[in-house]
Amino acid sequence: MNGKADRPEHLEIGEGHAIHRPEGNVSFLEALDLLSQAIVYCREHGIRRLLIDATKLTGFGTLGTAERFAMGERLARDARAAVKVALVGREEVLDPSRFGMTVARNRGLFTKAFSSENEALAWLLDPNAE
Amino acid sequence: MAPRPERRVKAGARRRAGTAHERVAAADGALRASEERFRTLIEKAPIAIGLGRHAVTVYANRKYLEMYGFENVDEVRGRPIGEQFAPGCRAQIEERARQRAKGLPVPSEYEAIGQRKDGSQFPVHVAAILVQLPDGPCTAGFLTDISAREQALEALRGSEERYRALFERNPLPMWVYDRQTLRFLDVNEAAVLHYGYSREEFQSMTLLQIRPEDEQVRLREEVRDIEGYRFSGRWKLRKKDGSIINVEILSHDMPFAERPARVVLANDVTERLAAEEGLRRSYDDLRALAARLESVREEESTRIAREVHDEVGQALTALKMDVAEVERALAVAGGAPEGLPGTLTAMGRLLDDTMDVVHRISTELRPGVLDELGLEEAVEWQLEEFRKRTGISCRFETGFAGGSIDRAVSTAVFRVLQELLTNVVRHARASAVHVRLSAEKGRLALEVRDDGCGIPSGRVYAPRSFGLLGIRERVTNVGGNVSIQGEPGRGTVVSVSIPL
Repeated sequence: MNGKADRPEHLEIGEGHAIHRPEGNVSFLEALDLLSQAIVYCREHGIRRLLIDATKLTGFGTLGTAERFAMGERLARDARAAVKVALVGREEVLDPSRFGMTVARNRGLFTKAFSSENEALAWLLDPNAE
Repeated sequence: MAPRPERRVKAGARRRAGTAHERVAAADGALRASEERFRTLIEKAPIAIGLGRHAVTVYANRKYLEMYGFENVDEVRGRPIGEQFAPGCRAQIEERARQRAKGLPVPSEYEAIGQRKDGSQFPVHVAAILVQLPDGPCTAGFLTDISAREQALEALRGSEERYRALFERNPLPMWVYDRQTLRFLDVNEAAVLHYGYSREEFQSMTLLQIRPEDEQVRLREEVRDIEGYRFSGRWKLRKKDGSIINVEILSHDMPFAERPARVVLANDVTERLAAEEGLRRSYDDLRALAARLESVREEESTRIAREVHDEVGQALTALKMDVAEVERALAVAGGAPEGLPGTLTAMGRLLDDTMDVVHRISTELRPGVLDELGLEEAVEWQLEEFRKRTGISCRFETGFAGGSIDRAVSTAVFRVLQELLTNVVRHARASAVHVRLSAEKGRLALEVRDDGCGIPSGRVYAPRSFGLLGIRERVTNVGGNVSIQGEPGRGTVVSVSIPL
């Protein structure tokens, strides 16, 4: 036992990055756990770029400010500024003002939210991305 | 025997009848009490509760009425439940109520916009369930005004966004680093633009990687020791293109990404330093030029003073002797033509006056006493001349043990004294001057104190106080410093200190 997290289901490891595509009808907190597990795994295994495609996670409605804050804070805490995260979500779930992203960036998580996986991947792999 | 059982039967029936009556009454009472309890519970519940059937309100408790601004339940009973919500929410809420009544799946909790009796709106959290009541099924809604929570969340949102903007849009480069690993945890846009590294490159680097090697030991020591706010002074940093810039660093502790960290503001002062260096050089050049001019002027004055004293003075002395000789010769020859003796006497007086003028001019150009007898004697002589000329009393105190003083120093001190005495006459309205000359701890000190009106503090460094400016320049040129202090009505004290 090396104490590291197990590899989460639906996590693919690529060349210099990983892609996580979790699925299921889950509550918001369960969804947050799934995202967090992928980030912790990447951090512990030195994978500095992670794309999370959360479009197939269902079971929770539009997120409120409190949920977005909790998400940004939790993911940043788990990433410890060691993982760059591109998050793909359904358009109707994404906050136009990207509040969760602001919270996460304020806490050291270099992240950005997209509605398209292609855009997300391009950003993730661009070393000069903002 | 028969009556007994009959009596027993009747008595038993009576007992049974009485018991049934009592039981009904008790049950009725219990039911009423139960109803009353539940009614009280519902009515006094701290949460707004409403019952609806077919999307129409049939009951609302006191908290509900209070939340919506109604005075009694009749104002809402029989009205569509949608009326208690903003127009934009009504159709969906009424539809949900109808679906719930049919047993179809609908969210049991949601947030909506409530609308009070006066038309004002507020965010409301709704939890709705289908309940079976004796008169049929109905929807029970439990409503909570979440205005305060929404306001708090809005404040939180504003706070997060403000912080981000302050950091991200700060025009000065900023970063956050991990105190233990020195790794960059976050950088702002100005840092990315200024240093040429992308955000991602920064976050894969440590502070050491943007420092020249000769500053890395200092950096490690600095990072190890600092706590709280700190102005860390000037540092050299390396940009991605390899160029070295000078920055001034301010930093503060800050927990970040679950790590002990510091937030840093790095102000590039490279251009400012270059400008300051240019200005300093220019100032040094000007000062050297002024010193050189002063030196040349002093040498010129000395030379002219000597020429005037030696050449003109000796010529006048010779003329004076010649006139005396002519007077004697005329006396021996038996007298002079009429009028000539008077002319010769007048010539003699004119020569005396001219010799005095020559002597005064020569002395003012360069007092011979300074070169011949030294600074102490020159100061004493100057004060005596000053007293005779102005009537201001002078006291001279000297703790000067003599010894050789550099000519430039003695000249500077003497000229400073002359300038200060001129100021006393011009501005101080003083009746007495006290001068002290001393040499201690390898420094020559001159103090000139008067009892005049006192120089205003604003005049000490006024740009047009040329006399004081000249004093500072003279003293600075020989490595000394000047202090000028005035107190209204209590005179002025000027202290000069020059290394020997």
